[in-house]
Amino acid sequence: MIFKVAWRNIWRHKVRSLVVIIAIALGLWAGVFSSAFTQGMMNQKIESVIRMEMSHFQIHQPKFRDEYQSKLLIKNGLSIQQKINKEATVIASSGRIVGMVMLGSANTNGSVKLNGIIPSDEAIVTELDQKIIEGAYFEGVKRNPILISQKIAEKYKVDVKSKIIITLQDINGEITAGAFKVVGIYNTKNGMYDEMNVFVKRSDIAKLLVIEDNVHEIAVLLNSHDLAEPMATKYQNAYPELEVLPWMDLSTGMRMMIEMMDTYTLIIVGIILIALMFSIINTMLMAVLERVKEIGMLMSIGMSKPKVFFMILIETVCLTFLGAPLGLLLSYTSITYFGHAGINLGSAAYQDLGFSNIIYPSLKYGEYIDVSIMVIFMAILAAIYPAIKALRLKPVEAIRKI
Amino acid sequence: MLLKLAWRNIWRNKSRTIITLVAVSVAVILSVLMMSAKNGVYENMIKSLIGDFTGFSQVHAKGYWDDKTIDNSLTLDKSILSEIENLNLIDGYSPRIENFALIVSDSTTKGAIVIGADLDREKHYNSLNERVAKGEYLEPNEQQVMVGAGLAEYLKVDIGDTLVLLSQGYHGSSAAGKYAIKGIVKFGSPELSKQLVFLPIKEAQAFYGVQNRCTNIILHLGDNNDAQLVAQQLGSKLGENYEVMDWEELAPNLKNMIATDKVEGYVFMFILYMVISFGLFGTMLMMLSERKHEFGVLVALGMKRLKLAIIVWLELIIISILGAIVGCVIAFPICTYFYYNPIYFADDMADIYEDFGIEAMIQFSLDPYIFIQQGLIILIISIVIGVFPFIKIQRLDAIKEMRA
Repeated sequence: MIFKVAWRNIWRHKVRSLVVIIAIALGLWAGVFSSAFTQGMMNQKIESVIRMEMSHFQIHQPKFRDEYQSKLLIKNGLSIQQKINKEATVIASSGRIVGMVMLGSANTNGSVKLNGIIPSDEAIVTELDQKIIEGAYFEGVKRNPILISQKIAEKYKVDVKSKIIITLQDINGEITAGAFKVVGIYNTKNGMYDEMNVFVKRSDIAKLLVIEDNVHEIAVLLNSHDLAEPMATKYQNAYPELEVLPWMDLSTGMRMMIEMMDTYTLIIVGIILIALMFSIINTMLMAVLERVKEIGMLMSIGMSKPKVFFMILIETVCLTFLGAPLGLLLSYTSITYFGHAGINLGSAAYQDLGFSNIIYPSLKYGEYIDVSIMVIFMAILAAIYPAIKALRLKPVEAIRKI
Repeated sequence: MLLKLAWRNIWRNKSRTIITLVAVSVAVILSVLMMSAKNGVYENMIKSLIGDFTGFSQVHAKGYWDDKTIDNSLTLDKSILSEIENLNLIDGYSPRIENFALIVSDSTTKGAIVIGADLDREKHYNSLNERVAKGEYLEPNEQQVMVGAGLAEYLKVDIGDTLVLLSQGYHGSSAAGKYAIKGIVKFGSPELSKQLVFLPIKEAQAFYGVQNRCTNIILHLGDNNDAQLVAQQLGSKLGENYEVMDWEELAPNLKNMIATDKVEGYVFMFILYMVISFGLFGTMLMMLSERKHEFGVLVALGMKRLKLAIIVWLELIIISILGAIVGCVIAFPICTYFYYNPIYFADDMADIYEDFGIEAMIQFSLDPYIFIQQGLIILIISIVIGVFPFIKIQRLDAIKEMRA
């Protein structure tokens, strides 16, 4: 009975009901879309971390990543690498010799990270060969070729075919040096990465350091992001004396960033929900004040207070259930559209940080439901105050009002 | 006259006014808090990455920044220093010699930046002495060093231990020296703590074989927002042989990071504004339908529709202005609280920030610009929405509304 009255009330004031419905739909859209946008930003960062820097998981000696000491070798690294390559889910892997070294040109000296790689492996794992802008990918220089970034080339004032001296500590801690010739210049568009990294052939640096078939680092690329953790765990168990870490633990703060993202989204959705709650409270409060006469009449002909209360509450609930699907539809359409077309944050300087400046919002279905539940809950909560306000009306005074 | 009517109308129906007022002020509070937290994070980033060490503005010899070698150093002669001193925006300066060097301890070797610093000036302008975590602050004529905490840890050295510094001096000469550690300094940015070694500037000049020269002059500004202005003014005065840079040029990565984050922030602000505007719109629509009867009577009595529309619009503007003020007044103490009591992150979260070299906290910003900007935006939104009743009143059917 009350339900029927409430339902009819909704359609008696079409404009007012429409305002509430649209407010709810818009609020829901705002919450869902913000979540999807955040998720899109996250995906883009994850993609660039995996594709460019970390791959899916890496193997080192436990303390290697702290100090890059060259004695901390993975024994028989190349044979471990071959074993990994046999897995069906592994696309490719790269065994590297890594060291913090002093790079010297005729003009200046500085510290960089030296990566001794097998060029054909690295080409698949990080697609380094496609980032060459000058010279060639380990072709054209026979002895000790070195690949440097455009940033380093500019800083050290060197060019293709220039000579560079690398000074480093060997496995016994002795200082040794080698002369290398620039074979190519790369640019990954990630400024911070480019400033630090140079590449040489693994075999050349292995000779210099007398390292043989050992490596410092094995980076593995899998065919799915989701497999990174289980595969890392699997190899950690197989090689308990080594350190096997998935990408989210390799890149500083990535795991926390992923976990933080949920909190961050929650805060943003929370702020939007508060804004939404106030717009519903206001609209419903106005709706009650506007209907002072009508509600007064209902009360004076004998409608009990709880009934009036529930009538208003049910009205809001009905409006919410009309608005929510509309909002979901709107969210789904806009996310699907922008998920394909992308949102171009043109003026943002993503590219200097190594990201694309187009964001593709995306959202898991579960999150649609989460946000919907929050919005519906908020809407009902917001209706309580106006409903209470309606209870306080005195029937006689209410009717008298103009 | 119209204003008077509008003013009276506002107080005739207090609950309605309060609802609209609350709607506007909540909108202002939410957007101010969001902006304040965001800008506070930027200010903190800039302060811990730039202010503590790099400075908001620097002078170098032309070409030094692209090619940071001792060969590109500048002579500290009177003509530059007097130009710097004559500029009102600059409080003071401190000259430095910065160069890359290999630091050798008993156990290991690491590349680091060795800085010859004018210790009295660094103490006065940068409070460098307060950063000494262990040991003592250097005296200008000593032959000892202070090392960053992270670097000391890596080299496994402590106060009193000796370090050997190897580097390239002026015009290709080689520079080598042996120094005892007098103090260990700790910066907000762990990145800095990992790579800095301080020498007294006299000793550094001897070490690198340069007399009365330095590589960069850090400018200390009265107001850090003037960095760009100072760079322009001083740059044109000093002429072609020098370069004067502001922090955006000195730390382009940071500038990019902030620019990027701001654009992302705009997307959320835009979404928030949409929800807020619709909330305001709904409130106003309700107000209109509630007052239809009243408007009908007024029009029937001979009130010009235009005048009526202006009155209603004025009412809205007055309420919006009041709402914006109330919003700012409420938001201000909240921001102030979080400015003086920043939110510190728990351990895990702190690690992330420290890896980026930022102190792990959210300190709200108290930049008055935020309050004015957000207040104005919401005000404009509500004034634009206020056009709607204008149209509505023009189309009002007096007879029908009075009957309803």
